[in-house]
Amino acid sequence: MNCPDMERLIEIGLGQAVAPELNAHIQACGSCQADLRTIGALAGSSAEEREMSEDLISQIIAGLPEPDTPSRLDWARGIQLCLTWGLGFVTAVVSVVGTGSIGQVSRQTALLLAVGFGGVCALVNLRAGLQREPANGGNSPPEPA
Amino acid sequence: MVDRERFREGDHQYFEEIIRDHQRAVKAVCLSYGESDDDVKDLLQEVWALAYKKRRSFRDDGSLGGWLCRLATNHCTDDYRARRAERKGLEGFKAREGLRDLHRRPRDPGEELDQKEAERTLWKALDALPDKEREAIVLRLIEGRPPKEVADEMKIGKASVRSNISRGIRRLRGIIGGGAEK
Repeated sequence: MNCPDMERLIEIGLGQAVAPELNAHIQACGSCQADLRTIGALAGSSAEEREMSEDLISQIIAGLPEPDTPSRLDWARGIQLCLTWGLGFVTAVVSVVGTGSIGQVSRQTALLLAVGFGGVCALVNLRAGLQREPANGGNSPPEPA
Repeated sequence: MVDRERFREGDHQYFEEIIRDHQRAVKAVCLSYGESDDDVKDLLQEVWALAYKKRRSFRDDGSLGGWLCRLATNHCTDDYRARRAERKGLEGFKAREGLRDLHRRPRDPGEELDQKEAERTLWKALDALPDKEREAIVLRLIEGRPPKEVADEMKIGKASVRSNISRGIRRLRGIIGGGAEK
């Protein structure tokens, strides 16, 4: 008899009955036994062992910070991004004009550079904002190293 | 299927549903790292609070089960290291003070420690698997979801789920002691 496919082994590992013929094969097959050991270690001995009590779930939910209010945040974020872009744009223009390099590059290139720089600033700001953690009332665990 | 937007928004009611749906994967990891029931409870609370805090970093292309399992493994590993270092420091201090015997913590039987160590190694190995293999294994084996549900959650076909699980299991086999296979 050939080795059963992995899905069949998983079903066995998750507790389904095994036909005597297949059982005999598994008893004699090191490869199937190794797969079943791995499946068993991952699946655990019982589903109940890996379930949480209702009390604990309630405690976890009660300890969560309030979610952000999306509408206010979206407006604030939009204004912040526009301001960042504008600041980046102005900075780039002032730099080009201030260093006298406007004569060395065409106006279009300078404008493109300024728009691009403003865009990069806005992207950096957006990324930083996404990584920033929401206010959480100080009850969150420490960050993993 | 996970409503990713709702999860990221942080609605408590939906987060509770997520906890119920994915508790097995998270608790499986915490059980391997906690040294007592209280430890496991603390770890569970910390991991779920961390998942809530980091919910916006959950990507669109991964499964939530895989993401949570990885988060739990990382957090529990860090916590375990910190506790071990703290205990080491404390034991050194007590030895210097001549109080070691009075304050030594009761040890678990060696067999149980070996088993836990093997489980921790397994979670780390699972964490190191390619994303698709890890996610398929977490959803199918640890959370016990049917293949169709796993395929829907991962947005791949059932055949791909099967092949990802097979490859992952074969890679993990060496860790459990059945001999690694390419």
